[in-house]
Amino acid sequence: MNRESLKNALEVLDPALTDEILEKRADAAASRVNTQKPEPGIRRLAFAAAAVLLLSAVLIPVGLLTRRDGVTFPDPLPDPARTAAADPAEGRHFFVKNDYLTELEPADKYVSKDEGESLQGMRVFRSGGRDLLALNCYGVLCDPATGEISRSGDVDNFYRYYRGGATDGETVYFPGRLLGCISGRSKEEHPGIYSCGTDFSDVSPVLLSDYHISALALHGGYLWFAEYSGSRHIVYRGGDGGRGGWNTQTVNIYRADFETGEIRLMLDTGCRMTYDETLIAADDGLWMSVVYFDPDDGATLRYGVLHMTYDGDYSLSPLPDSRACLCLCEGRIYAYSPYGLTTGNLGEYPVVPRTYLYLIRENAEPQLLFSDDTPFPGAARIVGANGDLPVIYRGKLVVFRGDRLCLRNLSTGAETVILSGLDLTNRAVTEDGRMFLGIFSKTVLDGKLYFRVFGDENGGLGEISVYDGADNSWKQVTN
Amino acid sequence: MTDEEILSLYVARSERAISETENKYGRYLFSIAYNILADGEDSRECVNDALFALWKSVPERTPRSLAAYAGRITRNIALNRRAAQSSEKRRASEYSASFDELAEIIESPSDVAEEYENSRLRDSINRFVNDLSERRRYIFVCRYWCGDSAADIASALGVSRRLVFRELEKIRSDLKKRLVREGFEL
Repeated sequence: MNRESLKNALEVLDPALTDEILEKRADAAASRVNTQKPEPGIRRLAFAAAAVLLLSAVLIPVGLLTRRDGVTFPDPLPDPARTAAADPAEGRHFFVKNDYLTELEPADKYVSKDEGESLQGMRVFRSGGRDLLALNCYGVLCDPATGEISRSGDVDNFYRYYRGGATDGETVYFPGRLLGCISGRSKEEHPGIYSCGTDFSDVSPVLLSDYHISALALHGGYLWFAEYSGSRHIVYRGGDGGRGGWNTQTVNIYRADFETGEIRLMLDTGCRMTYDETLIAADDGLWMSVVYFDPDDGATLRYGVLHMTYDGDYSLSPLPDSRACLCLCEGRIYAYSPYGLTTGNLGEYPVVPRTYLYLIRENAEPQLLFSDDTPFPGAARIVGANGDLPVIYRGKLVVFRGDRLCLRNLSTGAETVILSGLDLTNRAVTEDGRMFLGIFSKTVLDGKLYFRVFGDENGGLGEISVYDGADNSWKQVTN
Repeated sequence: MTDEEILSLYVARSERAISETENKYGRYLFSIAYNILADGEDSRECVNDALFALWKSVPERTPRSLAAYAGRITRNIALNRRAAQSSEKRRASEYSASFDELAEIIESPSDVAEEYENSRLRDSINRFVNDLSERRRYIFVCRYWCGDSAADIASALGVSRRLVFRELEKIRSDLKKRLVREGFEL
């Protein structure tokens, strides 16, 4: 082979491979018109020199993560990036609607399962840049022994079995499979990563660990996960302010290759995750909310956001608040307080009505976009119950204000009421004492805003409605 | 104006089709030509030639994607023009630089260029590109097919230039491995 043959080969790339990219490139070229490039030399806030971090990208023996009882990495699973298009679930959207895994289109088609089991909450996570499935916000999957679905709100099950966590990213969708992680307080509780079918059946371990695996994410055909570097106490909600407590173990980030079974330590973060315990896979790398010791005194707890590129390069940005959770909306990373709406939930939270939203940018100070300290009720709220995530809809923040659902322009602060008359004061109390609020959860799918309202005080069936900003119309999907 | 509307102007033989195409895609087409020719005047002529070629070929061939079709025509015209300029002193263009970069994986130049081997190479590279993730495919095509700079790619993707460089390095490394595995002598 010589240069000329390589050049000739490149010049006749299959149009099927280039046309779509040419279209995107045309769009990118158009969007660059009249756009100034950012000033160089933005102050890097990362504590790059902090001794708390130790970058390590060494290949470690696969055996570091103990696979007991003959459990090995599963047969090669298809690369999601390759097979998503062929997967029958592609293009279908699901919600967890109380006890049902509900497919949205066609509307009102309930596709699951196990009536009577509680799958309270709505959680949408992404695969391949698309919203695919909604699951229980606790990420509870099944008892590995019985295959039963663990009840949300059942603290015992919550900690004993499959802790998907309170935010998205911890239960990930693989074509035809769901992967979730169990925290586990000890080896006996079999912490690890498990998979099951989208109907919650066929539970099987993917890998087991001696230690707590906190979060999962899929990107680039790899499974990324965060594992504590040693046994650890359960960190109850509230983190440093709640029950339980931190120990000295820090989080490592690993990359698992489904095809080869190789597990590579990508980063010893030197940090602990906050109770958010979420690993968000964005285009530019992984993000997680962390707590770490101040590098100056080695003792003061600091809070911030860790960004790791997929090569293991990292940076840290501090956040002014200790309770940040992260989410990904319309391609951007946001930090938010989940405490605007958690009154009574699980009975373990301190009531902190403050709610805020920061835009997180690499190498730049977090930008406060929204804050509201008004005690509930009456406060503008950006999150719903049960760890519902903030939603940015067409660049505007969805907020609940009184009985209204509003879109807030984050630049001007102007709010547009898109729905009023919602009953937000009639809280529902479930049999186990948990309390839910009127609007339960919300998400954006295919450019439309979906939200769900609790229906009755037993926490029973609610409704899902959809708002289409294109024609400013509402449609009730279910009731 | 949407692509469909522009194409309907071509079909109706309205000369406004050309100005609308230029309005919408002129900058994009210019960047394709400029990456290959590294000369503003030549590139503008190239875009004009491409618009004229579009005018002649539509409606006989109605493209599925106007952007992709016009981009491909522009690229071909630019490549032809560059070949015609081969007797002139070759200017350092981004396209040349990008190709030099990729050609680094070939350590020993060889004159063996049999058609069979070339065909096999084309197939291999097409398969390789097809197997890339969506983002890496975008980076590969923009860099090595369109000759875009890493800065432009980073800007389009909203990522850092450093990340694009790393991705390019990985792509080249993977391509080299693939070619070696498939028996090519590099």
